[in-house]
Amino acid sequence: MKAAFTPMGYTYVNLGAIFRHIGLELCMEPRPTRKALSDGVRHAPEQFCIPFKVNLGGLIASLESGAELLATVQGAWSCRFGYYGRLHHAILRDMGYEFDSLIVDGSKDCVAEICGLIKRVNDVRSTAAAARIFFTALRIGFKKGKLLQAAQTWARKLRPVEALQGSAQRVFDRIVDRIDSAETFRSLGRLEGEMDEAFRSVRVVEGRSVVKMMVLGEVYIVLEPLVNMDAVRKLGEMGVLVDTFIDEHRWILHPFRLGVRGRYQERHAHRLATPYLKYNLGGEDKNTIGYSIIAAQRHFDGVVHFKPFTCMPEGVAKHILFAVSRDCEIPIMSFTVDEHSGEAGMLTRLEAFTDMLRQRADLGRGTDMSTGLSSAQAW
Amino acid sequence: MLSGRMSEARGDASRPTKKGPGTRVGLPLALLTFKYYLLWKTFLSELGCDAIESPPTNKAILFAGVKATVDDICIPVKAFIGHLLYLKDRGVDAVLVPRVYSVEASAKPRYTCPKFIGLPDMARALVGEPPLILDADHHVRERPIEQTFVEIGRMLGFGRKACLAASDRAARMQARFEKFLAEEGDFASARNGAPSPTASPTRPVRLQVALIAHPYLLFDEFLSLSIERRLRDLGARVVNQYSVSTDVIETEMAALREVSWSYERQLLGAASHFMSRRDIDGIVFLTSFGCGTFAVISELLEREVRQGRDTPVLYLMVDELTGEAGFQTRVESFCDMICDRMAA
Repeated sequence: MKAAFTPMGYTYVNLGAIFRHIGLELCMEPRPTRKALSDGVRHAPEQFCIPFKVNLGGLIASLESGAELLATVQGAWSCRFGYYGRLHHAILRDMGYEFDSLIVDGSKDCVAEICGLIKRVNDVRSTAAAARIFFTALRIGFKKGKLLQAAQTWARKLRPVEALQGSAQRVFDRIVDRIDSAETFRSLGRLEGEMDEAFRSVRVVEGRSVVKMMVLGEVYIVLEPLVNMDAVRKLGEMGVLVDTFIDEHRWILHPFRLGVRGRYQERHAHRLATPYLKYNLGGEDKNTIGYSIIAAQRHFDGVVHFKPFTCMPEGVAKHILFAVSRDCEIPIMSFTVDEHSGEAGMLTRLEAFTDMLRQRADLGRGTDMSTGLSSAQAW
Repeated sequence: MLSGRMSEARGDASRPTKKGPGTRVGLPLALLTFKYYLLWKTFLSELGCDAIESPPTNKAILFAGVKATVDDICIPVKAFIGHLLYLKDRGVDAVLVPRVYSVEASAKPRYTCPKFIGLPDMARALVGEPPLILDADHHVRERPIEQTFVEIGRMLGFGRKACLAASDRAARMQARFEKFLAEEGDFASARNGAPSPTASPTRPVRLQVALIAHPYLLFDEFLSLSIERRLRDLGARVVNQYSVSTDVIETEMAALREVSWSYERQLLGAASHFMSRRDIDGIVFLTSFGCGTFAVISELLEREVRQGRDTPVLYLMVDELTGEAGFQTRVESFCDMICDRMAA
């Protein structure tokens, strides 16, 4: 059965693997394109947030190339994310497309539906067999996600210090392709060692001073280079060591409540955010506030916050970020993104912010302004 | 380090908050105050507090709010922050900003808009304390409303018993308020507990229009650019969603169980009801720029609720830059169009 889901960042690597391993044929563009964005904008309500529009455009592209089953992940809460699947599918049906829908929202019905789907496409009868297939698929997906996460971490660390701009990215692209095409645990295991070797071979400049920045905000904008103008990479190449609060692997782990307590400290972040924002509003608002505080505590130089235009939870969080920035003395720059956002404007602002942080850090380290400026010019 | 600064920003120590009877408590006349007016006001006055209302939204109040908030939040929230700043300037001891989280104890979880859930936090970040922000959870799914009032009362230094008595009286007054709203569809008369004298219409009635909007737009003359008066002046009899009973709305919304926003269910259900009524000639759906829920419900209304019914719907969007002339033109042409349709 030809299936498609809504593309976001590199989720075609890990989520795509899960889809393929439960027996579905993937029929979609791995990454959303400009055309998908403009198609989505044409058919989506004007006031909707940009992830909805890009997702809709992505689904249109998949249907055009012959997808029969559309899977949409949606939330189930007071944020508009809870209405994505239903509305996407209603709009697409009104446009005249015919397809099966699978709305993945973590409810009991949805689990039963996935189970039925696995039985159907693999031609198995027992639930136990279906569950086995599902868990194998999940394990492959998690493994790929973990490798992807490691590659992303490597790339984020190397970009600010690489001798030749773009060399880390080239290795990264190659590795991601390899992860995507590997199909067995064994080949993935081999890849682990190769990846470290490949990234170690990137030539770096020793002793270059870097600015540390946390990228926060709405998940889709943070993860999808099409809408954030590839900000994570561009920041890296401006000499910024970027850390994000989420990546594709953690996004998949999230519904299973894995890692929130330990490694990724999401629960800790939420606790820190509570004095500022008592309840989660359905988006990434509590993470945004909590991880800003964590960034301040860990002496990051600044925070970049992305929010879609008219986003409800991040709109509330943005007001509160003013207070966090004041209380914790951490510079926060917030971008509101929609389909009209221009790359040049965003880059200029990111550059200016980075320069400002660099000067601020140099002042803090006791050097005078002139050294700070000259080191900035050396870039 | 962080906790110390935070309390400083929240102003805990800067001046002792006055408590007990005679405390001046501000009631911003914006957002959900339009819905829970007598509930909140009666509670405060029963306790012996001095409830100080902000005046109806005006240009100064709105633009104070616009200045303090980010651009793309909806205009009622901007106005609300303006009202809070006004009350702060008046030197009130506390302001009432309950966190209205859920308003019905239904089988399927239902909530309000995320902006209401984060409203006290936003108020604290933008306006700061003092005045003390009374932010008890109004969370009907989780606990009875009396507990909310006991919590608010405690913050003001009252005992449990006094709070329960006041909340009991407040609930009764609110029931009366809602009954008036349903009958008159008018905030002013519900507020005074008596039908307000209606100005005689300038033109004979030629059509009946249903006006649907959140109460904080509908009853705010300034934000809604007096849409109701404009419609009446154009010869329309106006009814709003308050004339539709809860049972009718639930029946209408039976097919849309997934919609989990309580207030939006009311709007959608009312729209559906008005669409099937023969005596309603058109629907005016008033909303504000940046209203997140509107993007969803307008789409649901056209794609799922309408079901081939051809009642004309005018979607009007207001923001702080809305020009009166353009607004009037659109309302006028909508009414004229309906009349032409009826004549044809």
